[in-house]
Order: sequence, then C-alpha cells, then structure tokens
Amino acid sequence: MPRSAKPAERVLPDQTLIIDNGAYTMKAGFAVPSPSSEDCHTIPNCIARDRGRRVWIGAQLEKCNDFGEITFRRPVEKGFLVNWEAEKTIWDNTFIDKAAKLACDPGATNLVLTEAPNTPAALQKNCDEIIFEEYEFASYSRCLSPSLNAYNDIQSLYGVPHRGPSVDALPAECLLVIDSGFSHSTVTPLFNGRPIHQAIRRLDIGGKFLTNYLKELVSIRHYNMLDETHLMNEVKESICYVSEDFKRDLERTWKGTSASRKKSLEGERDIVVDYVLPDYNAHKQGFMRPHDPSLIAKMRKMGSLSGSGDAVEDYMTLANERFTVPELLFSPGDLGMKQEGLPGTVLQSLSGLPPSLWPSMLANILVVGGNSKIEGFMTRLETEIRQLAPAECVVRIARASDPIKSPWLGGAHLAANRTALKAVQITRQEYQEHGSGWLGKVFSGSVPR
Amino acid sequence: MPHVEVLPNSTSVRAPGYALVPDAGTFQAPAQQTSGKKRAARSLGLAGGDTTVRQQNAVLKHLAELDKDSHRDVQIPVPKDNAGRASKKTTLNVRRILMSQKTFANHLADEEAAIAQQHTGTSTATSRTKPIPNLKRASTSELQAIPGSGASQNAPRSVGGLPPSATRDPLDDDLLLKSYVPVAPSEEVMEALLSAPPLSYNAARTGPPPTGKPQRQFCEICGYWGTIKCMKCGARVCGLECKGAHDDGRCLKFYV
Ligand SMILES: [Zn+2]
Ligand SMILES: [Zn+2]
Repeated sequence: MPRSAKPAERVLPDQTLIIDNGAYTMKAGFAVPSPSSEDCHTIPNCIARDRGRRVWIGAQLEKCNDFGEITFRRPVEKGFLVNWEAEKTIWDNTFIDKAAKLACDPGATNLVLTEAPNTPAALQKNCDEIIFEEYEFASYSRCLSPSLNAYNDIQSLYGVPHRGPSVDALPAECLLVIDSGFSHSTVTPLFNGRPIHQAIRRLDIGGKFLTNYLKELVSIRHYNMLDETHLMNEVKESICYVSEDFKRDLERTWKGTSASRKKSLEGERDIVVDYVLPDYNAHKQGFMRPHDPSLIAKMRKMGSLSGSGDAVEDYMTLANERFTVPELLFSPGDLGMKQEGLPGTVLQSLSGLPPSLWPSMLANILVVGGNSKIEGFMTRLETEIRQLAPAECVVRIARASDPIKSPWLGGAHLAANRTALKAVQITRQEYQEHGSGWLGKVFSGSVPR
Repeated sequence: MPHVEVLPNSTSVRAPGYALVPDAGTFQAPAQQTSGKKRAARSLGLAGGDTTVRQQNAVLKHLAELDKDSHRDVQIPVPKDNAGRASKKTTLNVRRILMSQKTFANHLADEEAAIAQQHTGTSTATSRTKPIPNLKRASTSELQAIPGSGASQNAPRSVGGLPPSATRDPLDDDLLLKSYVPVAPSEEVMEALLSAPPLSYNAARTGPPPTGKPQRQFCEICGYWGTIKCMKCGARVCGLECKGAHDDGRCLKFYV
C-alpha cells in the first residue's frame, strides 16, 4: 500500500496503552515486549449501585461483597460506546487518577482502542474527539476488536509449529473471527489483519441476552430473580452447557419421565442439578451440585433443620434451563427471532466474499468471547459449520487460549513491533492538521494515511 | 376443556398421558374474528400459520426485553466528585459529547435517517462505486446462494473448480491444507474488498434462516415441547398441569 514518507518520521512515545473496550468489561494494560495474559487487566466497564445505594466505579467493584439487587450503568450499549459521561468516569478512575490501577500520562502514551464492528459513524467521531481533545493522547488508533486477534500466533492453536520470530510481526493472512460476547455475536473475515467490512455479520444474541433469558425462566419456575442479574450471570456460567442432541436432552429432562426411563436414557450423568444460592451476609458463594431429591435436602431448604446450627440453605433445581438457554446461539428461532444461528451467520458472512477465499477462511476460524467458554459450545459450532460448509472445504476451528483477553493480546503483539505500530497510529498533531472527518476515513481503511 | 388446541407440529412429541382434542368451537372466538388488522396480516401470509400481528409484536417486545441491561430503568448519576473534574479548558466538541444523553436507539435512528437521505439524493451512486457486484450486501434470497444451502446464481465461480495455487507458502505443507489450496483473488480484487466501506448497523445483522424450517415451540411454563396452544393468548404449554399454571398466573399477561 502506498504510504507517504511522513509517517516514518513521526516519533511515538515508548509507552502504549491497549484498551479492548467491551460492554461488560474492558481489557486494558500497557504493551510489553512479550505480552501474556497477566499483563492484561479485566475491569468492569460499569458504574454500579448496591442495595445500600453505595456507588462503585469500574475496578472498585473488586472490593464489593454484596451483589444482591445491584444495578449497573454501562456506557457501552449493545456493544457500542454510547455514553461518554459514564465512560469518562470509569476511564478517569482507571487510567488518570493518581491512585489509578493503570495510571498514565496520555500526552506521553500511544493508545490502541477497540470498537465493535459496524459502529455508527457519529459514535466513532465522538470517540476520536474525546481521545484527542479531552484526553490528548500522543497517538491513537481505533480498530475492530476482532481484527487484533490476527496478531496472535493463531497457527499454534491448530497444532501447527510456531512460525518463527521472522514472521511473528505479521498478522495471519486469512482469519475468520467469531466473537460471541456480552452484547452480541459477530463474524469478521480478516485478510492480513484487515477486516473485510462488507462481509461482517452480527447475530443479536450475546451473553447478556442468555442471562436475561435464564433469569426469566427461573423467575417463572422458581424464585423471582428479575432484580438479580449479577447472580443469574453466575448461575449461567456455572450450569449452562450446549447440547449435542437437543431433542434427546429435552426428553431426558421432562418432568413426566420416570426415574427408570431417565436412567436408561442417560448415558453417563443426570442433567438435573441443584444450584445453591449464595448467602451474601455470610460471604458464601453460590455453587452447583448434583441434584439431591432426598427429604433432608428439602427440609434444609425449608429451614426445618436450622435449629441444628446449620444455616438455612436455599437452592433451586435446574434441568432443561441448562441447555435451552445457550441453545439460542444456535437456534434464535426458538424465541421467534428472525435471525440465523451462529453457524448460519458464518455462512452468511462467507457469502459476502469471493468463493475463492472460502477455503482459507473456513480452514482458519478463531473463536473468542465469553460464550465460547460454555461447555459444548465449540463442539456444536464445529459440527454445524462442517454440515453447512462446502464438502471440499477443510474446516479448522479453534478457541483462543484466552478467549476474553485474545484481542488485547493481539494488540499487545502489534504494539511490541514499533514499525507495525507506527503504521497504524495517528498522532495528535495529524489530527489537529486534518480533522476528525479525515481520521474517520483513515480508520475505516478508505483513505490511506 | 375450553381454550385448548392441539397443534400439528413436525417436532410434535405428544405429551405422554394426555389425549387432548382440538376444540373447534373456541377457535371461532370473537376476538379472533373481528380484528381487521389480524385478517390483513393473515392474508399477507405473515410468518407461519398461527402468528398474528399481535403475537409478532409480543415476540419483538419480548426479544427487546431480553436484550436490555436491566429489566427496570436504572438511573445512576455519576458521583459528584468525579463529575466536576474537568478543570482544564474543554473544547466545544468535548462538552457536547459529555452532555449528550442520546441512547444507542437515538444514534441508530440518526444513521438510518442519513442513509435514507443518501438514497433519495444520489440514488445508486454508492452501489455503483463498488467494484465487484457480488460484494454488495446480498438480499435475503442471495444470501442463500451458498453451496449446501441453495442454488448459487450470483457467485462468480463455483468453489469446486479452483485451480491449485502456483505460489507456495510454508503452510501449504500442513497436511490439513494440502488437499485443497485455492488461488487467491488478484491484488486488485483484494484491495477493493478491503477498502469497501463498513455496512450500517442494520445491514450487518444476520438474515433469517432458509425458509421451510418450522419454528420449535416450547411450553412457556416448563420448557418441554409446547404442543398445546392457549386459545386466549396464543402461548404454548405441554399439558394440563402447565396449562393450569399458565391460566393462574401468566395468561394474557405477556401478549396484550
Ligand atoms: Zn410444561
Ligand atoms: Zn393464555
């Protein structure tokens, strides 16, 4: 690509801050020569208020013990940075205040900041203006969060030997990134680390949606949990799994199925589990355990045994909730949503590419985002993509070793290479010369810098 | 047993132990007949069989509800000692952005309005600049032009007939890739692909699945197959026990 001589002369400060600014958490930290997950901090991207009306900002939540009825204000809405009043409060608390966890002087720092694909242009402009006019970072690049994954050593995930230091700085040539996070799930094809915008597709289901659905089911069937989003997210993370055979599992968990039939249907273990609810007063975490149908358990729940010194234990029995909730990622039609599931979304994304690229994309699928950690998710995704893909295409699919921090790590690898970093950063001086309209075009790839 | 209908369903696993008979009488309920809106929806063939406009709206409302951060409106003001920090001079831009209380829905409406204006102004200018016809965001029918999911009309070449690559990459020796290495598109094609602008938020949303796949219906109480439909509100249940629970607490609640 033609580049003017000017960028090479630019001088960037040594320090680079990378922020993967998610709706649920931001992943942030300073670039180091050989970055690892420990260099990346996961900070709640929210302002929270507990039932005692105390307000917690971002990282302060680490010290919060009582999450009962806690409410959140999130500056990132549906995956997009919408409210800068709240975001600035959290960022100041994280990066600017003297006692901040990642305190820095923006004027002597390069910033690599991520955004979700298909961000409305007005929000991008807001972001650029805040970065250069309010924080005054020395240099800045705004890129798609999925794109940064290309700078990690992807091939080793497929069991291919390390490429060697000479190609370390180069992004993977073809990469199809499936990012299933808090707000939504996206499919992004990358070529040499650059997104092919026209082929990016989004399924409007993410972890938040799944948590809310579980919350609704539990509120119908067990307790009113409508004000317990935080708790239900924990329940979801500990009990949910993606079924390999949905019909079979639904039959196995039908309340009318007799115990003997259940036994014969089940191969290895029962699906039904109990989730013991946390006791915030006693600082006790909630946890899952095998279902205990005995009377003792029921009595303990009723409080009949509380005289014996044991605390009253509250639990709920969960069965088909375990797999009907994450099933939505594969079958949004189960709730009447007129969108294809994640495997179909991958194929819709490919349809925006020349077919000659399909084999390389299908052979290099990387999965990131919190939902990929749900048990059974990867197996089901791989099975269904294989079924949909052209028979002659090899399908290789891998989950990042750290699916939450993978984009941040990619950004850190990029930043570790000064030449590569210089090629993407825009300095504050350039912004002042050319303005935010020009900046938007540079970051979208339509104008070479 | 009024207001109960057993539905023919491809996934139909009849609730064991029940033999419910469809009640033709209740199907003629006045509410079902008088609404002209609903009749119109039916004649338009909206969705499959038993979906009325009202039920579709209920589904949309439910989906929007599930996509919210909180089931009630949360107002958490920024703490005072943080809010007034901007001691140094702020630019007009910064002040405007920090004061903005626009939601994502507001921004989305703005984006859609801008797109609509563009279309009335310069008609097809944006699509004409696109170098490869296939790159245009495909319509729903075109999206199915993928081998395995339908006939391909717009794909420039079939995937099957690709010549082997002339240039060797060290990765070609990977056993998995050896069997099938396609020739990459020309540099011009790739550059055009990479510099094409992003889609709008709405245009990037994944489309519906190929038609013909019936929606699975579940009991709204216990989650088992919803083979029985409440004639009052259209909700699904699996059997009499759950129908009772539905009538007690939830009937008409979420569908009005
Ligand atoms: Zn039921
Ligand atoms: Zn009803």
